[in-house]
Amino acid sequence: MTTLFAFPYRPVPIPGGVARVPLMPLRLYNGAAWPDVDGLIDSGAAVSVLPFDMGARLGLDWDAEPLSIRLTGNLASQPAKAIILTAEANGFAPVRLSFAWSRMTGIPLLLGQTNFFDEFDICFRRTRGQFTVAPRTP
Amino acid sequence: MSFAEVLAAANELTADERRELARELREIDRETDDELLRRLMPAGSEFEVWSPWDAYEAAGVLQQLLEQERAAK
Repeated sequence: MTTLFAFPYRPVPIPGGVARVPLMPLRLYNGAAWPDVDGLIDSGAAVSVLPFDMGARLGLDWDAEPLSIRLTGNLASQPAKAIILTAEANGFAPVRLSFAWSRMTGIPLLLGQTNFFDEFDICFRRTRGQFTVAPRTP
Repeated sequence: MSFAEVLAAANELTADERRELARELREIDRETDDELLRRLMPAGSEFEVWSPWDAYEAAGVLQQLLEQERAAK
């Protein structure tokens, strides 16, 4: 089982230039659906956020999710639901990750403190153009 | 179709389509040339999202949900 992996910062187009951001490829599972996605590792986010369209690709049913939660900032303008999904990344053992499934589209998948950072140790090495990810050790 | 023709055709796309094309190109080649991405991005478009840095209430609910799931196993 992989214990540590280095990912490159990846280019994202922004107005007038390109930003390099810590995007982590991972696979989310919900029954028969398992899309490969990229999550923006956001150490400043209190929670992980799943965009509405990505949840729909996973086959999630908005109306069937019973637990509403409230986000903040500009994400507060749309409702959100609490969900838990299985995620697998780069040979790491699968983990259960919680998400605020936002009704908003056109936003990145955010990997925040609860509970992505409870499951993985992240080391940002922007000066070297990479970040490392290691699963939580018991 | 030449590369120049592809770029010219990209200019005919809507702003949303050009964003989507840029995303697709990133998927094809994650080290896609920065200049190409810059030229494909619609002028004035922004990548707007604020981190929910203070969504502690939501974090508490999610934490509780995870604990309930662990306890149920």
